[in-house]
Amino acid sequence: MPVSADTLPRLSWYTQDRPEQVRVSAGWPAAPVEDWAASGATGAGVRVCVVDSGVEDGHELVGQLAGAYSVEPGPEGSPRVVPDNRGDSSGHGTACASVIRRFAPGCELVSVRVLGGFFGSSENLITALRWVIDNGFDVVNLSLSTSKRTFGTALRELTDDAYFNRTLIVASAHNMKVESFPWRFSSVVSVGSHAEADPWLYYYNPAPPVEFYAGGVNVPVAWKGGARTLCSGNSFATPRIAGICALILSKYPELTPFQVKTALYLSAANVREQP
Amino acid sequence: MTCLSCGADIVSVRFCPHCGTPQNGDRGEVRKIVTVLFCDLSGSTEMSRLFDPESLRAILLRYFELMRSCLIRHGGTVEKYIGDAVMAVFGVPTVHEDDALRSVRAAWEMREAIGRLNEELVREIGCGIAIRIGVNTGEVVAVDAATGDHTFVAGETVNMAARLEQHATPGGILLGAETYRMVAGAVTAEAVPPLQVRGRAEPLPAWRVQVVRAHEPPVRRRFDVPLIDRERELRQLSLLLEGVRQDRGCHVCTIFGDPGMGKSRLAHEFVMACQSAGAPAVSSGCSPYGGGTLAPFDGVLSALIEATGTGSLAETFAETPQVATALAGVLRDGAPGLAVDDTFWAVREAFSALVDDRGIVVVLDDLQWASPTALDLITTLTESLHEVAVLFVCLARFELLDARPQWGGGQLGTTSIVLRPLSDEHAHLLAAQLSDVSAHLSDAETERLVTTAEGNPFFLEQLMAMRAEGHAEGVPPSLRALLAARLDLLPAQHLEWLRWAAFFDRFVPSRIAELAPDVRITDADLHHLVSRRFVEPDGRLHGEARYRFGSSQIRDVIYAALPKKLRVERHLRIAGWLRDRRQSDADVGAHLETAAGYSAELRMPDAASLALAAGAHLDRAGRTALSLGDMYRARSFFERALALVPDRLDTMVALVDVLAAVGATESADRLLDELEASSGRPVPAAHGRLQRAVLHLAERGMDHLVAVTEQTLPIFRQENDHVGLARCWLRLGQANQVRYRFDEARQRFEQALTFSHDPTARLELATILGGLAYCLWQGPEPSGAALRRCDELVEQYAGLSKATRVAIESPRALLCAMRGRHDDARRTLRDAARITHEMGHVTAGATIPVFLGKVELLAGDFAAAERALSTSRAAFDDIGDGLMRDTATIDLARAVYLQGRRSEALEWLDSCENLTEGLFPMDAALLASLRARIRSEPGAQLERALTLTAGVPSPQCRGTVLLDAAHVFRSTGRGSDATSALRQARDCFAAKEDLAGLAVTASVQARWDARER
Repeated sequence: MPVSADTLPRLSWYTQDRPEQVRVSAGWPAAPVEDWAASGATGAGVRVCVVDSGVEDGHELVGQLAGAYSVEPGPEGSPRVVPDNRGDSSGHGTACASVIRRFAPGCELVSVRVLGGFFGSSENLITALRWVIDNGFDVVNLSLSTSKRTFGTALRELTDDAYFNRTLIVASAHNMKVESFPWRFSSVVSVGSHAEADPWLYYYNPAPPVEFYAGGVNVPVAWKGGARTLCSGNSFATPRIAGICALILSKYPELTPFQVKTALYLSAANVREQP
Repeated sequence: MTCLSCGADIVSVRFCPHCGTPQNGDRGEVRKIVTVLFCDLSGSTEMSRLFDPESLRAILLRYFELMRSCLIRHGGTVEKYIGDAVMAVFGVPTVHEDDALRSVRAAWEMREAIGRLNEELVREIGCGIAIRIGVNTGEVVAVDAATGDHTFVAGETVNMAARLEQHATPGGILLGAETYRMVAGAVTAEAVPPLQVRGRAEPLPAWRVQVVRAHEPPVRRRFDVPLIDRERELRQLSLLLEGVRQDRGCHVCTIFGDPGMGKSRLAHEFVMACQSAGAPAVSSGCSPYGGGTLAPFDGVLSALIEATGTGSLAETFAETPQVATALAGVLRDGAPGLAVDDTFWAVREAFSALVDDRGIVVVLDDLQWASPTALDLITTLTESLHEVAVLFVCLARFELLDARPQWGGGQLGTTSIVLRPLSDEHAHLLAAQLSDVSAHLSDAETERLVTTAEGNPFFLEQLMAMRAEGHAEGVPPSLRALLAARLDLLPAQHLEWLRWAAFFDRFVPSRIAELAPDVRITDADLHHLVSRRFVEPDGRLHGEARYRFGSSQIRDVIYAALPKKLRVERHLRIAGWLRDRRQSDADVGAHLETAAGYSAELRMPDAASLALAAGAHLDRAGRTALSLGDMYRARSFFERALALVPDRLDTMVALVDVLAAVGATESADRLLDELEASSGRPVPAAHGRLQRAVLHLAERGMDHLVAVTEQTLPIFRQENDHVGLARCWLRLGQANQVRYRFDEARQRFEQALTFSHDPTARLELATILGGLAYCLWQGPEPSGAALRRCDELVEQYAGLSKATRVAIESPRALLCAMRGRHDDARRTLRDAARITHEMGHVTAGATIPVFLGKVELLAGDFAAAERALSTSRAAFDDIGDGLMRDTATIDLARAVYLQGRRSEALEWLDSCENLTEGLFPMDAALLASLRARIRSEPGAQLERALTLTAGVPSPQCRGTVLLDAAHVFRSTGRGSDATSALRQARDCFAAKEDLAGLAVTASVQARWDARER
């Protein structure tokens, strides 16, 4: 049936206001403390994969990559992941990588290119995610989504696999009020934007499907060709949360995706202990 | 062909034999998108060896005839036979939106026809023949539909079609990329390795046809994405269905919309909804070519009969064989087999018999192509079907109303729905759903596509698809074909009129009439173009209705169809016409620039001279923009001029100025390197050096600038380069001005002025006049003489530009105020404020209130002064100019103090942190003396102020400081010092003829005298 902005289920893709205060119910084992989760960590020992348009290796704001790959058609036409040295096809992936690097300077960054420019195919995305899970990455940054419903089931199975195999997928919500995937799935950490300037400020959204909001307006980022710029969009809020996840995991490597998500929740700016 | 003047039908002639209007032969050529088909016999050499020439000729004649009939049936034009090969073109003389599909259907049929021929040949001579076919779509130059009596086409498209044919396997059909793109919805094809073609760097992509499906639209529509923003129409359809089912009657709902607006998609969605709700629905459509008179009903009836499950027509109507007989013709080929009335009766009977209690929805697509008989049938059914619930959903373009103006109205049981373009928001939503995987950033490219699509979902789909394939620019071929076919349906004179209009963003009919007197259209014609949305009204110009194109794509398609040679001619004609009417250099230059571009592409001999002419106009346009203070426009004009004529040194010099003014220092430096490299030309090189010194004034200092000026001055003098001389004297004037040597500065500025009559020096002129007027106000020249000189300057220069006017008027207002002409001064500054606001010059806008504040201080209206200076202070704060903010603040503090608010005034003074004594002695002195006066402190501050102003030849500044000193001395009991200071102040004001200052000193003296007494 037809879809329009009016008839869509009420979803929150971004927030203009501070989300309501969430009081943690009595009986939680520890008081939520913002500093507890990430403070003092550098991201060292955590392997982060940026599935995007490629990343410019050696960009001042990105540093050295631990690996760069691309999804290409294989001999039988089906896509596969192969090593790649062509850098970034648009600048978008480099931008995301630079945000992660800013938060988690010590993490290991790997790029898998699935976008040519700002667009790509669902088959390539699925191939890349399969590869990322098989290779046991700790955190995956996905500042993109597919609007093709036909790939919904395959993607859901993949993100479930990731969730149970300790690969935490941090996925950006769409900027428009559009149903797209995989950010809509509960097995990923979904990220929308708020417009405040503080890069470390993030909120838990009590009215999902978007679970967290991070700053997504005028985010200082790296761009292709050694450049720097300011960008807006959920694309750039997402790597902030991915970076924070890398910090949490470098401090507490034993945490599962479920636990990291809980740590994010407990350290969100609008989550406070029951008075 | 139709005469453009009287509309009579004529055959290719130079003059219309009916009215005598000359028929322009050149307009016969157009660029158009056509599909070219090549078909050749495979193994014909072998055949000629095997067969006797007589038998061979007989076989070939049958083959040619078969091929020709297939091609003609699908609307192709056989252009020529080359040996055993046939070349046909789809799209000449008239373009159809489905030319590509027609050609592929023809190719498919040719292959099948050869199969049948081979059965005969095998029987007759024991062997068969095989053909290879290549089909390619692209732009060619051809003869216009309106004039064409032959079909010769030329272009790479033709050669590529021939290459595709040569690479096809026997029996195979190879399609080029554009053709495949335009038929992909109706064809199954596999990509073959791209062909290496001689003389072509890029390999040629090709697809081998596997199946051509009948009754499928050529372009795959994205029905997989959710329908957007059509709930109201869907609800309307559901209500209508509910109505016919309740009333057991028949209703016709016609959905009108431009091609691509989503008519089929809406109907598809409605049919799906009906089916999921258990309501039967059938769909059929009309085709722009072929098919019988009752074409859409063959599909409808077959579907109805199929739904009964009985199978054949005869079985279904076993009890009423006359119905079966009457319908047989309709079902065979859409042609009524009997008299029309009998057929109508039979169709009605069929509906009555086959539609059950659930009723039925019948979708009839593309009704604009239905025959009058088919339309009559729909009307008849609506009126005569009773006790059967039928909802006809007719989909039609507005062209249907040309054939049936009353359609959808004036009859019971009819409704019309018009599909409107999507809103921007909904179009964005659609764009988001059309991409597969996309990055989540706000990108300008999608924004552009949404704007380009103008709310048409199909256009947006096509534009997005084209981008996904890596083609960023231009109108997708599918859209171009659609629009070109609509345009080809227009009467020749309408189309020709639009072909002139396409040269303008907005146009008035009278202008086109002047440019192309032989192209005439009436108000009724224009109304028709508006009603078909080719053009739309766009306000009025000089009392005449003005128009623009209904969409930018229509304009693009019309323009793209014009041969480049014709574009060059028309741009030149328009440029000449504009020049004769003294229109702006910007407009003239833009047309010449485009003409120069095309003539270069065509390697026309006059390309270089056109570029020179265009460069000259654009350069002048840049200077005009400069004189109006519009730096960004000026920059663009100069850059375009240089792109055409890279060695225009004067343009380079001007561009450096602009780049420096807008802060693009790096670009300016690069250009200066080029300028200096032109060593053979000393003048431009000297300009380069001088401008570089100006550009880097902040780092290299005034002394360096003065040194460079002194080096270059003799070069300019020797070459008598006035602009250079004006610039040198201007810089020397400024060097003196910043050192408060106002008289010397004044002389240099006057000198500069004598050389600044060249329009190239317009940018400098405002600066020179500003400097000169400033020195006249601030310097020792008595106000009377200074004002007279200012008045001369106003007379001579104020009319030249806003910038020059403002530059002179502001200091002049202060001279007026000194002479007691306060209202004059206020009026002048109000005008200046309005002008700077219009110019959008922020800094100048913030400066005017500083002058106004000074005037009000002179006039004694301190509250007004405070208001003006507060405004100015805030404005400089916004701009981030701390120095000017502090300068305004000193006067603000004085205005506040003179209203008796001491501590507030001191706070203002304390906030001035940017004024350092070394750099700005006058301001620093005024600040120190006012602070001393407020605090009644005769200490070091006051002494410093007196010392600083002692050497400055600015009597009114010195006078103000002395007046402050007199007050301080008086209040600290140093009566004789006070009297002496007051006398000196009076002398200063007298020297300047500052009547306001004199009045103040006189009133102070009077007050003191009164107290003495």
